[in-house]
Amino acid sequence: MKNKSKKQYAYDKILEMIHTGIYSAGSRLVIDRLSEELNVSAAPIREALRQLEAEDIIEFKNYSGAVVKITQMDEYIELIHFEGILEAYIVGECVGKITQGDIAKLEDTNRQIKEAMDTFELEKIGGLNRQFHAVFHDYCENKYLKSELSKSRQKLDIIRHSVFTIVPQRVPQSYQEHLEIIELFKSSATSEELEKKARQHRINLIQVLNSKFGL
Amino acid sequence: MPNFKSLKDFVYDYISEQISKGDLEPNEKIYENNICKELNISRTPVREAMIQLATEGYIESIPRRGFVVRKLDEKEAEDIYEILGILDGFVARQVCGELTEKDFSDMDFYIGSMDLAIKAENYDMYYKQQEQFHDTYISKSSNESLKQMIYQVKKKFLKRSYGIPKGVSTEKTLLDTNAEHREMLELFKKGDAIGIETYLREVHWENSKAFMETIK
Repeated sequence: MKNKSKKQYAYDKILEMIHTGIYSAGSRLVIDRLSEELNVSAAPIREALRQLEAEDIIEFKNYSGAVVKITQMDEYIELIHFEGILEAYIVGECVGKITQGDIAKLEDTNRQIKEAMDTFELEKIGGLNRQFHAVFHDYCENKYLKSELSKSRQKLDIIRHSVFTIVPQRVPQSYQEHLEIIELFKSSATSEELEKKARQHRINLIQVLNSKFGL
Repeated sequence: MPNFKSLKDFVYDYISEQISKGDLEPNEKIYENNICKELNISRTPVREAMIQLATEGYIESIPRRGFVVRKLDEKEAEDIYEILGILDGFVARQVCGELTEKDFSDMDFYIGSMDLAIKAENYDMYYKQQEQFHDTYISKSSNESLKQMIYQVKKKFLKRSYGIPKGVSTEKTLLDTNAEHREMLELFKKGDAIGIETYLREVHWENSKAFMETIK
């Protein structure tokens, strides 16, 4: 039992270090070093690493030991595609429920994206983009849907940088598409139209990534 | 032993299988010792597996009773149907153009087998054939995350055996469902990608049918 709670502690801490970039994609996780850093013996560290391996966050490579996984681009695209389907559905479900206050929030966030565009603050735009999309998530009443979305978000967050740092040309496009989504809400479009627009928004991103990486 | 990531995973799969098959019923207490004996595994991985199952909502910890199998409530069943509608619908739309004559003939075969299974009240067989039917098109998708998710949600939450007390209503319900499979096949044959997605979302996985999962 003592081992178990130490393992949980080790697991939580290591995951935190991965998320905050202390151990980034490709970094090696050395048991002795972790043991010192976390002040926990090797056995629970090993167990924690096994769990992280089961969750596809790290892998054990020959001659390297435990390494934080580098999500391959095609895997990344698959994940955002998948996330996009669920998200588009949620956006459609907001029709008839979204408040004036939240529409104003969307407009305001999008305006901030435009401002950040002028100063080329791509990471900031990433955060604002997340904020924009989060407005819709709050309307989702399906807790399984919400938890699946947050799980795939977790996996995507291992890649520390916002997708806009990879394909900055998406920023003005994304800004424009956000405007169109807001406009559809204001003009009382149907759920189908909103979902279609939201899906297209995600597909446009995927197409840009595909052409950049020759996939 | 199959290639599991850990003993805990092995126990986890074993217990969740028992629940979805109905060997462990709603409100039934799970005896840690029994599981240890049955699997010849020590308490620690069994305990860890049960904690994971509790976190995920399969079982719950009741004061002075221990771990007990949770009954899926109606809202949860509806939520699951909603997700499956979205994902199944999306896959069907995505692969619609890739189905071959052989696929159509396979699906037709499964539909026929399901009719026979229903009439023979062999619900285990019905379930297996239904899985094959859906697999025919789902397996065509190249998106692994999508396929995995569909598989996992179904495996976790749907009734594996319709061990419901037999009666006309069960037979009728399943025959109706099989009629839907026929309709789906027609939409696939026509290549109606949008139609099949809409059908899956609004008819096959329609919310009000979710109550079936909460029976017994």
